[in-house]
Amino acid sequence: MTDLLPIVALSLKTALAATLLILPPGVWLGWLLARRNFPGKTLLEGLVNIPLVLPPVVTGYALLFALSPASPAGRFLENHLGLQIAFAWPGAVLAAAVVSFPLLVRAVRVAVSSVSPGLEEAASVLNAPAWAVWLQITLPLSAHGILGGMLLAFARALGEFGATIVLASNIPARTQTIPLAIFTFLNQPGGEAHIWPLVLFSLILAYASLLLNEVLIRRIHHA
Amino acid sequence: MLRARLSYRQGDLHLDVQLTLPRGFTALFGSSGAGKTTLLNLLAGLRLPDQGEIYLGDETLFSDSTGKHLPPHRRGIGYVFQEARLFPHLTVLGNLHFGWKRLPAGQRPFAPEQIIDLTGIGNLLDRRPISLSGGEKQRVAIARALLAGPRFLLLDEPLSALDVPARIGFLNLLTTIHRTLNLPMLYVSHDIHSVMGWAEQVLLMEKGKIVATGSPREILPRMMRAHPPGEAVVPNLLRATVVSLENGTEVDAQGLGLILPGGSGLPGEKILVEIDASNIILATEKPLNLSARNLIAGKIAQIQDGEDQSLVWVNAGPELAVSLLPSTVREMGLQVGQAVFLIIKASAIRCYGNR
Repeated sequence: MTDLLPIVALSLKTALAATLLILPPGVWLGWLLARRNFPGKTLLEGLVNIPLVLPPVVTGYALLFALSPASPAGRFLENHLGLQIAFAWPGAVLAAAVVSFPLLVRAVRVAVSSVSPGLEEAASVLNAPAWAVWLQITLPLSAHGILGGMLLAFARALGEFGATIVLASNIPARTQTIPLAIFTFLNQPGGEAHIWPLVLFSLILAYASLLLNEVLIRRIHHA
Repeated sequence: MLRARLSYRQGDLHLDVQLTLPRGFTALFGSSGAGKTTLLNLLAGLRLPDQGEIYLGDETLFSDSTGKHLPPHRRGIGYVFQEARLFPHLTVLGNLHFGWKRLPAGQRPFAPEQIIDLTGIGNLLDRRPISLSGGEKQRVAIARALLAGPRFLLLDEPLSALDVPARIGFLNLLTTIHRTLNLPMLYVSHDIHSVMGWAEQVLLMEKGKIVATGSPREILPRMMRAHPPGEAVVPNLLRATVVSLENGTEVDAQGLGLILPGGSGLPGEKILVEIDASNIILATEKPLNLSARNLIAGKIAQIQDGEDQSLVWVNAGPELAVSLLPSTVREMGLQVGQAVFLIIKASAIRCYGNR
């Protein structure tokens, strides 16, 4: 049992890092899609949502192709920033981030759309420049929805398997998150004993995230 | 003074106006779809005109020739919207402080206490907007706009959601604000009641254009035409003081003695008196033995002919409008300068508190 704790901790750490990594671009893109019209908006929407429908293994392979040590981008990151993506923990974070990104963007978009543009106009005629309107009106009024999106993204990142195993591989103590560990134990004789606690833990965490998300959505409707 | 020349096209609406707003209390009158709200949005900077200029005093707010356009937060134009648009996540006090705290300390023309007192919202400060009534929301909205230190105030039909006493109370408040703070205002209305007796000047807007500018009385026949036939009720609004309660409620209405139903106020109390022009009977000879309590002698000052009703303005101290059928005016042979008598039942006079 105690040897499972590092796996759980690594999973939580990976999912949290992935969620924080996508938060700034996710909020920006969600706002952009909710509030602005521009040429190519539909194409951008499609691009953001691709990981939602693409087999995660394909997403992982695309990332590996783009960022492996053999690729120019991968070489650049490794030589200049000392950052190894493929077959390393940052790869696990990136894989989880990419697949959970559309969930966050969707939630932010819905949350920002629910804030009446009339309130933003009212703020702007009350001496507030655009950044203040965003920080003091739009953001607080959509915070519950954004938080709900973060929970969904976090839960999705915890469960990420396909893209992770392709991009980051299944390296114990480095990239082996809960789903990868379950996969490994399944292929080991006598491994089932370790599987159940992990399954139970995944279930509890996923269900808790969804419940909390539901609570947040309800608070929006009551506000 | 606010001056603008604007051209703006959106869907079916083609707005093309040229206007000069003096430092007064001006009403923008027009039926729905005339482009009133769009004009306000252009002045406030929430929409950009296709062409034109906007000047406030000697400052250029917008000019297509120089490419200059100040964003809304730098225009110094206050805006009270039709729906109050209070921020739901802030208390009333938080709403009031929103624009005020963004002004540099030396440029805040009013103290919150002064405005809170003026608008009578001192008991609401800790409340959330969701718990306020329509009238309370509008009072908070106007206080919030004033505290942001505007040099000109726009109001977009802030009265449409209010019942009659609340509407009168709000117009009274606007008049007080206008006089106390010397703040020029433009308020949108599609209702003659909110213009007659209140506005100093009226801009009449039709299909995206300002088609007439003048005093409320000058514009009145055209405002009546904007209403469906038979629905244009012209009010006479008088500011009055209660004199005695011996005989109903006797008031002095700008020099004219009137008798109202009992219980309309206490001696010395200032009230507002409203008489619909269609509730006044006109006679060319003095009637005897009348049951109506108010018999007023006067002289015809002006006759405004209309399509389905004509207005006869009678000088009886203040001038009162009497609404008659155009055929009645002809048959009675009414002329300007003629001595006439007005008959008004006490029960046909409405009164409102004048806070």
